[in-house]
Amino acid sequence: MRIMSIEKVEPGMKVGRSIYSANGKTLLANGVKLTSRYIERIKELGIVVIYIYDESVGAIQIDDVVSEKTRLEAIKVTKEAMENIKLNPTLHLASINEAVNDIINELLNHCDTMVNLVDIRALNDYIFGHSVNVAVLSLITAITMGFNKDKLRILGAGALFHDVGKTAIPENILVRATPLTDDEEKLLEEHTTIGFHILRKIESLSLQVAHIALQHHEHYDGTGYPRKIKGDEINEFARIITVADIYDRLTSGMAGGLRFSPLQAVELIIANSGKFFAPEVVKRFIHIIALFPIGTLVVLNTQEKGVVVETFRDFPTRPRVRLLVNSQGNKINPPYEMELASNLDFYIVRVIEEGEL
Amino acid sequence: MLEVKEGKLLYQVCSLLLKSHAEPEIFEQIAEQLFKNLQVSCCSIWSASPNGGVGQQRLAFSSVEDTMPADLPTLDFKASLQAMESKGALSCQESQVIAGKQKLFSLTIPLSSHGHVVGAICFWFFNGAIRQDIVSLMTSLAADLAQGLHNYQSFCAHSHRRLNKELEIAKQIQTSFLPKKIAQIAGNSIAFQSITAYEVGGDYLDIFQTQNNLVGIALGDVMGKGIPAALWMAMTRVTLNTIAKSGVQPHVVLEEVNKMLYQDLVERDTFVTLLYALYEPVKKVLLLANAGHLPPLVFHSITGQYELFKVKGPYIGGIENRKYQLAGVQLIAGDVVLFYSDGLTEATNSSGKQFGLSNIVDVVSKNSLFDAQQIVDSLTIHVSQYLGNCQQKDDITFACLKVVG
Repeated sequence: MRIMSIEKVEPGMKVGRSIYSANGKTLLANGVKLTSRYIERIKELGIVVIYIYDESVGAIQIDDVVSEKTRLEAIKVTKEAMENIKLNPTLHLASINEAVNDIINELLNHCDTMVNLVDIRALNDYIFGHSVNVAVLSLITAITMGFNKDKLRILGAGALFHDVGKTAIPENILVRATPLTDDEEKLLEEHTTIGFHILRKIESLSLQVAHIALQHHEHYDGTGYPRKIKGDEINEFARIITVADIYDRLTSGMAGGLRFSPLQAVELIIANSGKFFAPEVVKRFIHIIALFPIGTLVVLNTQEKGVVVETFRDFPTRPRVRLLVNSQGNKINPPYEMELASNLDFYIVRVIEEGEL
Repeated sequence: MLEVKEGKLLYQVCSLLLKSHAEPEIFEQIAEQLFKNLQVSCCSIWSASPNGGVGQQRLAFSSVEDTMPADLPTLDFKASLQAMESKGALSCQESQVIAGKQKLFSLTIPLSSHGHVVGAICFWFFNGAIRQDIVSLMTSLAADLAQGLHNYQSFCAHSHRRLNKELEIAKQIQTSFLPKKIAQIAGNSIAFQSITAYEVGGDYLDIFQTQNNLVGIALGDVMGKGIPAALWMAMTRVTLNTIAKSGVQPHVVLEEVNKMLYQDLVERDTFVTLLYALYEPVKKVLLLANAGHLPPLVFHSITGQYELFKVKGPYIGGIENRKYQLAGVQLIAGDVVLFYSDGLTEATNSSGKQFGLSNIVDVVSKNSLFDAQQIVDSLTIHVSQYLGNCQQKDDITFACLKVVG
């Protein structure tokens, strides 16, 4: 199994990991042989990379931080809640709380796993999948920061609802790839205050949740919106959500079409630490993201080529690599695995983004 | 005394070696022969990297197809690595591991030729009894096999990389001088990278602890390439080490190095650029003297700004009995200092553009929250990506100091 850009995928290849639609339905199950029609459809949905089964790479185990079942359930309840929230504000909070609890419990049980998520979700209607991703990312960050369960629950709910105000924004502004006019930009920024007013009226929700929606676009240096507050004035939950939000938007390609690799996204976040993002959050956040996600093909300094099979929090640039091709370009059969963290003479020099081994 | 069966096997393997013209297939045949005749579950032959630097390679692997645990190749890699590091003349290491549900026993033998470890051979079996037959056979076979490996490696070095003997020696000198292990001091992290070019340059890097527990970082570049550069590098290293180990101030060290090397350098019409920094890990003060080398980059974590830590001074072999300046900078937690050679700034891609300082600043600032090792790894990835398929013209050497806590 390996990660492959959709442009390089050819008919006849097999899906290495199931592909889901934005609302959690299985589009293509693991093992399905791709036809040109399937590939066209995947492209139309805005999916840019998928896992492909590759004989020479072999099977790779990916330990999800949160199981697919919990994730899909969370997407489903978020979608239901967001679509009905204005009509029936008291609704489904029980199911939302349950979804948040499930995510928290799973995360606490896998406290060492890194986020290897190469998200293969359809882009249109992405908002619900995005909300769940932000919840997972911000919760792991908060766990490493030592938050207790009560605080984690508020954060989780806040993450799922941080974009609730977008349900009141016209669709053509939300999905447009071309630049917005000033007026449209203003309207889009309104989603923070709209969300705040929706959420604060719900009695059974903590007021903090409403503040997360209000403040998740504030910047640490006071250049954000809507209130231009800065530093510690920003709600501590919102400071975490801001980082998780931008990471997911960058890596999914939501932010302006260009899709960032985890490495690029993390570098951008570090570069803006103290500017847009709270440094204490960034410091924790960067250690939970796998810079070279499992399934990435890499070239080592010895010109050997391999695939990333395991990642470690303490050594983000030194994963465990299964060596597939030796320095002369011959296939290594059977392949063996090496931990770069304990073999300092070996290091990654390049990521193979396309083409064959 | 060898049994008849083993004698026959020995004869077969040796004749295979004799017939060979350094084809890699020969090792596969040998492993196959040993695997079949000795009734082991797996036999593998490993080659150490020919230039003593990095990388080892598996030349052959024969095993029982179905009954072996899936992670055997990985265990085999680890065992061979251990054997090669043990550097014994002919030592047999026996160990047992649990792979999957099965208990496996291994016998690994390092192979040395002319005093160098050239490879290793590993046997794996389920039966725990010591296989005297393998031990006695390998005693007779190890030297021949090592010679065969040595020949193969020299052949590869010549044909694939067109490395001539001189360059190979120069490269060996150079890589053997790199710091082996850096003493990690609490609250600070230090890491380095040295990517040597095909034509060996004269980069020199050393990181050591002085007698008064300060950290000395020396980075230099000798004019020229190949053997002469490697030799000058060796001389500079010995001279600097001798003076600096006692913990003298950097400007005094450079003055002394210049005094001792000046005459020789001038006669040969060459020179060395050299910087020497002394780091006080408790007070977090960095002292620096510089003899014409590129100034290190200092990143201040609080402001997010960087500065070039410039200290003027003529290169070693420039002016006789010249005094050098001493400068210092107070660092705080989160600050990053990067020492680098011109190979890094001048790494040129296919469109003729140099990597340049701006790219270095960009990469380091974007990774400044990571530890030194990660910063170094990221810089390596970025510069390699930048070079693409272009051949690297000069050594790329850099070292990173990060104040952590």
